[in-house]
Amino acid sequence: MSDAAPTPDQTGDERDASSAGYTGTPEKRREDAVLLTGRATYTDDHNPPGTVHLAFVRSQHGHATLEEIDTSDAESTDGVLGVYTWADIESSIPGRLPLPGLDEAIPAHPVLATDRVHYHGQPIAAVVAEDRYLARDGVAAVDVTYDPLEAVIDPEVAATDPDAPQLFEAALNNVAASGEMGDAEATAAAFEAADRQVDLELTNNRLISSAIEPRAALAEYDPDDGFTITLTSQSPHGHRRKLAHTLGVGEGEIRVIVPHVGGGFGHKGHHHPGEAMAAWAARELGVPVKWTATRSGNYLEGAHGRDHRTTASLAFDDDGTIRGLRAETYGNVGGYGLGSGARMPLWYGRLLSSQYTIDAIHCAVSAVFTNTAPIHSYRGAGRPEAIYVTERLVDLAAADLGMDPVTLRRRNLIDPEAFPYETPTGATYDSGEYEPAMDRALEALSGWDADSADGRLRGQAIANYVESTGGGFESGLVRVLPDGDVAVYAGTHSHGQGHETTYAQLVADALSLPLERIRVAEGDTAAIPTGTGTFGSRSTIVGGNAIVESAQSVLAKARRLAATHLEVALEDVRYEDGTFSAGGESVPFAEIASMAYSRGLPEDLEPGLEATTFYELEATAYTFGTHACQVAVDPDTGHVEVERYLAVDDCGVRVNPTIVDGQVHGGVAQGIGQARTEQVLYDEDGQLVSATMDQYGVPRAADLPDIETDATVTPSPTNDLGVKGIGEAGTIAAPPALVSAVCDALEVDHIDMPLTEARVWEALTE
Amino acid sequence: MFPPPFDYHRASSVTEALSLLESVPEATVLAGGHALLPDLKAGKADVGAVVDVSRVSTLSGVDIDASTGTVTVGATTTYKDLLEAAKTTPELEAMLPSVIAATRVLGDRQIRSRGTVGGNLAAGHPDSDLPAPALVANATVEIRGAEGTRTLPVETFLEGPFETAVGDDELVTEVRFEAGRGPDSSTVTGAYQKSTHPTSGYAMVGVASRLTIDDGVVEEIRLAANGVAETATRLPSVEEQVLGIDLESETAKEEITAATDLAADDIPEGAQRGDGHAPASYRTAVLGTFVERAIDEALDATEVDR
Amino acid sequence: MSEHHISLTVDGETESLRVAGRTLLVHALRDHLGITAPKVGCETSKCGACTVSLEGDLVKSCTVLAVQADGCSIQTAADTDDPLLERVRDGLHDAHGLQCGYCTPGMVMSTADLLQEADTLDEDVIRDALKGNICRCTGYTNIVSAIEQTAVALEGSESTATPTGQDDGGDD
Repeated sequence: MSDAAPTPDQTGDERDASSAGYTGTPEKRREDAVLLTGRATYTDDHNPPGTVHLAFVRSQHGHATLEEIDTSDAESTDGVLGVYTWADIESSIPGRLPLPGLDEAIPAHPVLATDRVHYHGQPIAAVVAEDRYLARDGVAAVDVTYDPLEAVIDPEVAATDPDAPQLFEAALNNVAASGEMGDAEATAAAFEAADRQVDLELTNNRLISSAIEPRAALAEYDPDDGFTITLTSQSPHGHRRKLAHTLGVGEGEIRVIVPHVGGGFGHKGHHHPGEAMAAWAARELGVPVKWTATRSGNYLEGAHGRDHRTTASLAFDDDGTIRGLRAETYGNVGGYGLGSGARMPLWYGRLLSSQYTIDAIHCAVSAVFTNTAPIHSYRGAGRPEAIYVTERLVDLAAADLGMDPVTLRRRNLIDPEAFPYETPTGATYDSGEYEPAMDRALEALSGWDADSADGRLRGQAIANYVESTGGGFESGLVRVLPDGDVAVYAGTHSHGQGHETTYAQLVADALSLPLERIRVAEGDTAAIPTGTGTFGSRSTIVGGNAIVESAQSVLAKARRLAATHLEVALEDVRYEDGTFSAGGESVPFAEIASMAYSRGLPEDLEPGLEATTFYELEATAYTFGTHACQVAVDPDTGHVEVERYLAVDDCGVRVNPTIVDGQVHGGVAQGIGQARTEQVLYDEDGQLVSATMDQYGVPRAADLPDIETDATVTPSPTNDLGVKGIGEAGTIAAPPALVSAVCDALEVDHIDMPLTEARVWEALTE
Repeated sequence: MFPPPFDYHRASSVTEALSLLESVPEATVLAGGHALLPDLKAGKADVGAVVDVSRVSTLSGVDIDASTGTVTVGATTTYKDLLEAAKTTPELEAMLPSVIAATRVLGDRQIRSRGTVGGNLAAGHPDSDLPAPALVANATVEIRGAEGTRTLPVETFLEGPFETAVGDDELVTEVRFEAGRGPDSSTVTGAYQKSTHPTSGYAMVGVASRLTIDDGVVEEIRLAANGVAETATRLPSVEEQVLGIDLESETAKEEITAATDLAADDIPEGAQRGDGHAPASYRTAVLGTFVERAIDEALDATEVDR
Repeated sequence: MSEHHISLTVDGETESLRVAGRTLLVHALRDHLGITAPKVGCETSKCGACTVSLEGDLVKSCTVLAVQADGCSIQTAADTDDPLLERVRDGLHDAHGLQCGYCTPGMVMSTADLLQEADTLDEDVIRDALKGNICRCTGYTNIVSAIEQTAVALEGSESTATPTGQDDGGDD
């Protein structure tokens, strides 16, 4: 008889709390049981009695004026309870989504189209019916008369072609906003002085986050309690604020509950018409109204991500020293600006230095309206765009010099002694030791079998990256219950990242208690102090520090209670493994908890044992690393296989290494998707061609290799836990790694993503 | 996402199915549902009623007649059923190598549980995997209607993209495939090469081959391609050049490559197939490569000394 | 538009329900019977989040009419009485083969089906077998490991269950 299966790790629950602690251990996730049996409830699984369904009539055109919306047939369709247009909602709610930072004369996205539509799929009318099928029937019965207008889909064309249609009077040349980063003069001087220069035009292709759960919201309204909105979101409090704006009510009138969320990747961090419309309809009809986007609805409405056109140059000397970098970018905003998405392209240049010492950088960006779905953050949100530009330029420079691209990179790495390091684009890198990670990647890569016996062309490449993490503040509440159980609440919201487990590990360590006494909850704005949410690789670093600080406050108070109880001075109290002791006497934490909620506490001690922290980093934490990729290209078909992929990442202290690796895997998969198969296609009339999963290339298992991971650990000086974010690293490093590897295989300078068989074939046969 | 309203009828026999198709307005056949239901959900089809034939037992089944080299597959036989039959009766794969190979790579496990052989051909999807092997196996499609039964060769049955010869009130009842035959001394072999479209899972290019080899010489060759034209298409220009090649000669490989280079000639320009991910120009450019691979794979399965 | 009284036996429980002819099985399960395991993630039969076993066949319940499943037995990932599903779930849990969990019930069913039917499993076979299940979170690496490990665990327990009197040759 054999020992056929590896013995699973003991879970933390079984471990003595006095051993090394939970931080750094690969605890198995507590979230899993309900997920594995399908018992977890996501938004669409919620069906309070009386729930009715909402569906949208969506624009069939990319750009058109609305001549007429005939709802009479729809209203008389079986099972339809109401059909609504802008005219029905405009008097009772402001009805436009937030749009901070743009010229006020530029209209924000209306919940339902006013007199015109700016993108294929824009909501025009809402149908509420007894069930989903009947809602669909109602939608099919609405008759919209359009006067189609010319459409423009490319941001550079929209901004520079005088004949391009203008979407908004107030946005000259369709420019929503423009900005610069760095120093134009210094960069010009650097280019003048440098020996050489390479230039590149590149596109960062448009993507759709494609979380497997589409967007959904269930709204309930009670005249006394206000709105209760259950929805799929990455940011419960963010949604509360934005819904309040769109509905024109106070935030106190809205309770947002975010249950299980089936992936987010950025696009569930912002507010969409369906959520507001469901709320309005719930108030109007007095019944729960549920809106669940179909996949095509989700793809049509977005938000989408990326979509930059960039012209960039790198100035460098004959010995490979980089002197300057210049980039001019047109970033797509979409048919309407959506929240901060309208200005997002303006920030991307922040990371153009990547890991390199570059004397001068200048980045000029125009964020441009086009007749496409609105754009907002998608995993990486600006960092992938920047790192992609820099890494491609570095490769081109190496080719120009006939130098090994690794040598060129190494020559320009920021010195470990130079941190904190301020880049010419105003980013201050907190810490970094780039060479060890790069060397680990190179060592592994050198051992990969690149034999060409099967006739395929092999290429290898590395990509270096940095990632800014930990922006904004976060709320963390640690509440000890009278029996010593601990409830932890955070304003972040896990949609796969395992906060329930990671946060429990952190608090268990901070309180020296066993893992099973800690319970973590997120998602209910009625229970959780206002926070920011989960995106931008921030939860562990900001949320984690928030709850740990709260745990420390709690422990400090518990210690005082113990001192009082043991009748000793505070400094004589010892705390170990859940027990306070002094002078031979001891008292367990649970008993202190009970005391905290009893009568008869001394005057100087308030009852209660909990703490809330609103935590914000004083400096951004910069994760970094090097990814290595080997591809095999079929020279007769252009098919690219990613044969090997290794991610070496440094996100500081890794609280749960397995969960961290999982985040890397997922990010890399999405990065490979961008590089090889994913592209959002619009035709010239603004019709979305890739509107279903039949036509948008989300990678399947057979499209991906076994993604290998390794790590270096450079604790971050920005926070006590020494952590940095990791969620987006893969999407940042994988695209340049893959493109570079294919270019290596083909011995060409550049191919624009996605590297479809057809594009690679073109490069092979040119 | 949601089909428009329609009436559902279940037929328990072919006769009942035909009667329903005739009498119920705008009725259409439902078997595996993996062509019809996605179309209904996408709003690409609108029917008054469906006639479900998936439980008509006489329409399902695989009959192998080794003596005549014929395999008769009931229209509602699922891909999974066909693969099971190939497992339990190994001769089936030897008789229809490209059909079985294509069925293995078609769709995914879930689709193969429900999608049917008859339904596949009746849907006429230009990128589907089964039509080219059907052409190569000289398949015929039996259709029954009120007027009686007719049988069409698959190349006639496939009329255009998503257009086939089965009438509104008719039912595909079976598909008959022929194994390659040759003298006792000969070897019959075949293969299916697929370039999978990464978004749809269908074929960007799919090539089916069947060769009969006697004494090292190609006595018969049939080649067909999916995904490159409006319907699956035979490749006569290539077949002509490969026929008669002495595989054991030194120039055999060159000759085959030269022959496969002609494949694109068989795809009329107006009828080429492409999309945003894989344009027609790409598919026709690489067709020759897949044809060569389909030939090579078939030959590798034999003991011919090349 | 026709309406039909049908019965479905789901994870061992038989239920009667009334559905329209056009009602998809996934909606009959979710909306009529309150069964949350199969999920809707696309509309073109691609994502596999709706995957269930229908009379022992692995199917996408979004591409079957409920009425077509009348009288049939259906198994979802919620079935806690099936030891194979339990192993599959354990395997995914042990290998961190799930993150948001939305694709997971479908993945559980496809894995169980693969383990029951396949003769030999290697990485290529597994990845190919998952063609009908899309995961956006995990990049599949841990899912593949989970399946490999579960297969090994099953093999191990099978050899321990070898009928008595037979020499299993000391193989593992």
